[in-house]
Amino acid sequence: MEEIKKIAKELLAENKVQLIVGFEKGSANKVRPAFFTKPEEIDQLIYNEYCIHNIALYLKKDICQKANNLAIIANPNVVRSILQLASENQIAEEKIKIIGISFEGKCVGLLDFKAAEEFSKTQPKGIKPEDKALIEKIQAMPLEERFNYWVEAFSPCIKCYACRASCPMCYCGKCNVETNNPQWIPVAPHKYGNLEWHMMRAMHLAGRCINCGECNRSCPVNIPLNILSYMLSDFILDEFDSEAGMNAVFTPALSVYTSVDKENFIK
Amino acid sequence: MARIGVFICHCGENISATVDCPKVSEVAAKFPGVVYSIDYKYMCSDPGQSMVVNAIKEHKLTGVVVSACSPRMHEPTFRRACAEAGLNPYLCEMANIREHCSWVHEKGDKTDQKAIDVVRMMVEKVKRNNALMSIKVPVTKTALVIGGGVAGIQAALDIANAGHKVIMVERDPSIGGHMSQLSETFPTLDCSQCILTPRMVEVAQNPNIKLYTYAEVESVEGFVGNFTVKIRKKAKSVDETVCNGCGLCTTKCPNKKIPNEFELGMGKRPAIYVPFPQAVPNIPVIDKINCTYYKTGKCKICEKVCQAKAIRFDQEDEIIEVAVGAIAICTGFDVKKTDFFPEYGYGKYKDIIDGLQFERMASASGPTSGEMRRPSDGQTPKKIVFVACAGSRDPAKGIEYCSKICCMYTAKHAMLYKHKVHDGTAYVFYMDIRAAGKNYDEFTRRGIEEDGAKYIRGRVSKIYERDGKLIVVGADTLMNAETVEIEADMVVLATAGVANPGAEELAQKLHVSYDQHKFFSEAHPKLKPVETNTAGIYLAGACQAPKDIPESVAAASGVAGKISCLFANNELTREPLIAFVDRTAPPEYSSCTGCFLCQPVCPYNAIEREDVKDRNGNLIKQLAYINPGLCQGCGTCVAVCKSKSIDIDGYTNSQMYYEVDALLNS
Repeated sequence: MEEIKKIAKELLAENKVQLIVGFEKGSANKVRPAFFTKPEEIDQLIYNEYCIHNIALYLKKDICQKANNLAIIANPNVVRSILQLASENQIAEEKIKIIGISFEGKCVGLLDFKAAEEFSKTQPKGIKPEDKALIEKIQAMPLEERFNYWVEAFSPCIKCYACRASCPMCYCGKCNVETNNPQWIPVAPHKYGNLEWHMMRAMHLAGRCINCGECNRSCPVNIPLNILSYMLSDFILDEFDSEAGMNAVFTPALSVYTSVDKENFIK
Repeated sequence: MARIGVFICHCGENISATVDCPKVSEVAAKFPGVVYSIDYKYMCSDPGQSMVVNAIKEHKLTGVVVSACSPRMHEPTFRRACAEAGLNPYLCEMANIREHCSWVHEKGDKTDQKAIDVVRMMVEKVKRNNALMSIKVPVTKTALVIGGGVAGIQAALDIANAGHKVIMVERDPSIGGHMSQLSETFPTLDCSQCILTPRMVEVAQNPNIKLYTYAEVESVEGFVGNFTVKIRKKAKSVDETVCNGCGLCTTKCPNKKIPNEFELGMGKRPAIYVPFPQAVPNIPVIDKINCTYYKTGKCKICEKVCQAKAIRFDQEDEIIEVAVGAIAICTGFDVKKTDFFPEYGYGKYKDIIDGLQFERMASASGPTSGEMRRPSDGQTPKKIVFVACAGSRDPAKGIEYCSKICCMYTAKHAMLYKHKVHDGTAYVFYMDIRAAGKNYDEFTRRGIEEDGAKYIRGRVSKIYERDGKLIVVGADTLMNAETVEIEADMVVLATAGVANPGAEELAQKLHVSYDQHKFFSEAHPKLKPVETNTAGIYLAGACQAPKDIPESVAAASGVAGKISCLFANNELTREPLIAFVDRTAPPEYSSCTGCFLCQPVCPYNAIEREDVKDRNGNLIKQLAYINPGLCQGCGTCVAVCKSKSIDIDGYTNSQMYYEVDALLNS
């Protein structure tokens, strides 16, 4: 904690960055994302077990876009998001300094992209143990039942788009669902409109989702969206040997063909 | 306000026998926006086209739907008619009620309804069509021929003789390909080298042809009329401009025990070598892997004996860039080696050879000077067995196709053998004799009737060695499938013709498609047999499928004809049905997020990164930019774009949506 503050303070004091993205104390026991521009503000910076939000989300927001350079307090989910964003040409290495923190809360200091890739690989991957049971249950279902399961799971969706708003990979300025001429995806929250929206979003995240689980956390009706994207990630790792958020090199699984692709799914 | 004209064609009886055309016309007349609707027996005929032209003028049509055959057939016809009447040709659409309706359904109400639906969809689409202008692109009148076998030679000479420049790239040190390895050729038994080598020399001497041997295509960019090709000239370690081809170095090289590739391992060659005496160019190369100097740093005997001072040990691969307008792929084929066959000993028996090795054995310039001597002990084989379809037509071996040339060359081999070994016996195991072609059947009959080759219809299950003899076990299916056992001195396997190693890699560099056997795919099996799906890239010879010499030459001349047609124009006109990235006002500039997931999916390398900069030159945003010269309008980028920032003229999102909408709301 003190180490994080020390690094952050130095970065601002020595004018190495204009902005630091981290957390500060919120109401009650909560924490909230915060943006620091002066060394003296760093006293407000905190990092504890509640700081689980994927604040890489803000990198594509105006406040970060306008800064010439910035630093971010980055747990492994944030690091992976940054690497994935970098691979998609959304953030340049020279613009960002990563203050790496492991899942246990240990500060690993400043990471360049190469170190971030190493760090990302050594940190635990995948999904929480409590979600595994649900995945196994879904995987055991025959395809039709699985389809019906998801239709039902999406049915309480109220199309608040919190999943999209909390997702660092949903950075499109104009989302598909807001394209209204023509309106391919219906806006109204009915059963099949919901299915279309979530299917589209899952497909757009396939091979790009870093499994931070933010979509699930932000969902007011508790749709297990993280499981959908986790199953897709798993599938893509299996079929294309590709894992989002593991390196900053541009290798989009669904856009690139290599002669070693297994392609089992079309045989 | 849209004023659409609908023209329903009977196509003689092709459509009207199944679809009630007057009824379709009647219903279509009531569609919103349709002001004119008519049916006619042959819409593509002169009076039919006049009906379209007159209706456009009389009824001031803003869009035309011709409901007839596939757009592949007559879209250009009707678009021309529209242009003649002063309507932008891209405001004309075809509703396919022949291939998609009358040909595939029975007569009835449902079929009529489908025809009506198809017309309704196209009416809704054409309402949203935009007037488009065709694109003009310049043409570089130089052709690249990849591969210097007989197909490449023919294509290069024909194009050069039409007055165009040709660049030929050959992977090996000499041109000539497999044909230069053959002894005699069917069905005339004329000597292969005698007919080929003069053509090889012609290539070297033609002022319009620039020949790069020992070179490979490194990368290809660009599009029809305007390709940029990088060629890797592999280091020969010999200065071509100085070497006079005296060959002294090849005789003095101390390392003469290297298996000769040209002789398929049956002969030996030195480390500095020309593949065969008639090679073009007659310039040696140093095989760096086997050269004593490159291995140990000592030797340099070739340098000492070379009077022209042409040896360059420090030569490095050179990459040159050339601009060409068209590309002919003539990279040929390969044959399966004997080690492919477990039942025939995995290649461990020296006296089981493949067809190409037999060609070298029968060739006057081959390792045995044309004498029949088997590899193991140099004895003349008195009993020889030829096995046709070794691997070919065998799904269990993964080669279900017929290699096509083997029936003929096996007959030739049996004849050549009998001409050289008068008291010998030649057996041929075959599945069917496929000898379709001018004078081909006569040729195989001659082998059987005059030269006495013993043809046995059946397959060989096993070959093994016993007391210095090869025991060939097969079945004679014309004799109640009785087992036949032949004690042979030598066996020749007519192994399957397969794609060249590296074919897949080349196809990927050129962005042309290939089949599951790695043979390159033509654009249409009947009507576009020498074109690929990539405009400006053509195919000739056995790189497409196993082919014999006459077929390869015919295809090569076909390619030359196609390329000459292309080069007859100074500019190419291209369909403007291409993709584009949307642009909006600042500060967004475009809904494109610059993620470039579209870039790797483009089969034509048409997507570039465009920098949006402010007045001071600072980068504001990077966007995808689609080069209109390269884009072929396939739409793959449209499908992968997450933010729907890419649209495609002629098939816009809104056109597609309202087509689907028209169908669902019918």
